[in-house]
Amino acid sequence: MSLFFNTTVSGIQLGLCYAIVAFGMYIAYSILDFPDLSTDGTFPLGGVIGTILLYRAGVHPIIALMGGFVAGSVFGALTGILHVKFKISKLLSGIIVMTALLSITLALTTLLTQTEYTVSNYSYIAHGINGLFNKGVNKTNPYLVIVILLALVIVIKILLDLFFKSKAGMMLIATGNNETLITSLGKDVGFYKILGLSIANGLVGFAGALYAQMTMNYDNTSGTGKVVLALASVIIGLAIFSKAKFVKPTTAVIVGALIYALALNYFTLVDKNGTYLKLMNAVAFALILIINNLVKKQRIKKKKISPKTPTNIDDQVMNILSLPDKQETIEDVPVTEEAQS
Amino acid sequence: MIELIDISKKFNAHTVNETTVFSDFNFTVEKGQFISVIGSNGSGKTTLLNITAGSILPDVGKVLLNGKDITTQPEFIRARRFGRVFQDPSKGVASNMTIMENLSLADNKGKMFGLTRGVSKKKFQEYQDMVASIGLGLEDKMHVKMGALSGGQRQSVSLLMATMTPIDILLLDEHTAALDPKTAEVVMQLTNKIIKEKNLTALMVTHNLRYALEYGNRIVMMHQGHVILDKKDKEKEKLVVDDVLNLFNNISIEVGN
Ligand SMILES: Nc1ncnc2c1ncn2[C@@H]1O[C@H](COP(=O)(O)OP(=O)(O)OP(=O)(O)O)[C@@H](O)[C@H]1O
Ligand SMILES: [Mg+2]
Repeated sequence: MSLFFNTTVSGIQLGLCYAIVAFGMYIAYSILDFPDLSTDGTFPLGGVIGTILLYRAGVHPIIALMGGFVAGSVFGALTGILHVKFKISKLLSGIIVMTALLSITLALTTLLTQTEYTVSNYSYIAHGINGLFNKGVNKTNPYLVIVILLALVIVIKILLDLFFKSKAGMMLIATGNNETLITSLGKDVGFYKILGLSIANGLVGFAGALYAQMTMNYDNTSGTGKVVLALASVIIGLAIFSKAKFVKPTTAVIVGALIYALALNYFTLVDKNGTYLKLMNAVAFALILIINNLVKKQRIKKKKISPKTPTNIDDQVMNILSLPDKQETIEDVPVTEEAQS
Repeated sequence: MIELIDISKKFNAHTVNETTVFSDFNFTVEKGQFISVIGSNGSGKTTLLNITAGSILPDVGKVLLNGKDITTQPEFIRARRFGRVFQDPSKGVASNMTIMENLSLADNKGKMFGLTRGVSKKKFQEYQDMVASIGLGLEDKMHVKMGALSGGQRQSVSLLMATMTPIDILLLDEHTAALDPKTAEVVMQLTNKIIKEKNLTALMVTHNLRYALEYGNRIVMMHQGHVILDKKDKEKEKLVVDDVLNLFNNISIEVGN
């Protein structure tokens, strides 16, 4: 029971931290239809930058999180630039940045060791680094950790909701929906894609810095699986609340992240060494996509049999040389319907 | 005034699919003209609009706006002074946003899209009145997502959006073709009303001969990248459907279809 309870508490902590990664993926995937693989790289990047700022610059832990945001957003913008300016596909742009970051994050650890040697782990406690959740070797009470995390997540959620209601935020949403409209409004579509990916990866970098502070350890491999985890969280969250119009997508994404993180954490009760955790992550994600596609198909079927507007023959005769009536196709359904409706 | 000067345009140059749409094509749109463009499929009407709007670059030639060379100016920049409505009703609006939100975006065209509130409550009445003037009962649906509206309703809102801010020209590419005849008529009349009220310059491609003759003050027929009929004002008024239809048929016979 106690083990189960502890697993629940740590699951909630992880879920709240991952909710911020999922916010990023919501922007990249749901809004911009860009399954952003650079996430796996910008997560540890935020972690290492945040840790360096804490350890070497002695900044406040919140400033360290902001540092993670800035670092993530720079590389998010790079992913966007590769795609927009150099016409590299979405997936490949993400892979390029992610791969580059494997080396970059490792190289940055030399700023922690202050030697030529890199490390794959760097403990906050062993090095006396003070994060949000520890003062020296004293760890914060786990419930207080949850409260702090929740406060951060809620602040970010509110900021995002406000942003989506601003002119710039609405343009970002419109970019994913109809690029032609953005051009018609006199704005550069590419700019909004780069902006969106920049914000998305900023959030991921922020979460990476937070994760390091929360686990009191910088782990160079902490990014692995974050794309899948974030995508799963977004899809679950949005699917659960697809019928509830009053629930904001940001709220839905938080719930999705909590559910997914808890489920994976409970799995570690069975899989004690964590050997199968990534496999579980992959299988669960595949199942989510499969189920989601089935639900979507069902929905489209329903749409197809809806009656068409009757047309009046007399009117048609009036229309000399007019084109045959083009029925509306279901093309209007956004590509990422599963994530939006 | 918009001038297309000595425009040449080929698609898929140097391949078996090479198509020459224009060679040494010249076309001038005077301020205040409302031009209907008709012509057979593939005659270059859409390409004409695309080159004007900057969606595609001509291989050779220039595009001038009020005497200024805008040939290579990016599409999104010249869009600030252009209005455009497409055949596909979903292209002119953001379908995952409400009418109110769409109109708010369009109203801000040409200005900064910063961090201030996207939708201003103060403007609600103004927008609702605009929408009510269409006469499709949309005034009660200000907070309904565009995606939930019919093609005709979306196309009408697209028209409002394209003409909300001052523009040098309105480009319409078969914007009524995807609608049922009754709705097409409503949208066509709305188009005419807006163009007249705002004194707009417009270039409208249509396959509907009746619209082409009834509306606008200049008619242009295109065939294989050439203008084969161009009448304006009084001369245009004298034209009847049969004249145009005969010309159309003659061409069709000439090219054997
Ligand atoms: N992007 C493109 N790539 C290749 N060929 C093209 C492209 N756009 C147009 N064409 C070709 O150029 C010619 C003119 O096309 P355009 O779309 O301008 O005709 P249109 O007059 O608008 O015809 P419609 O009445 O069918 O809309 C056609 O032969 C067409 O196949
Ligand atoms: Mg065309």
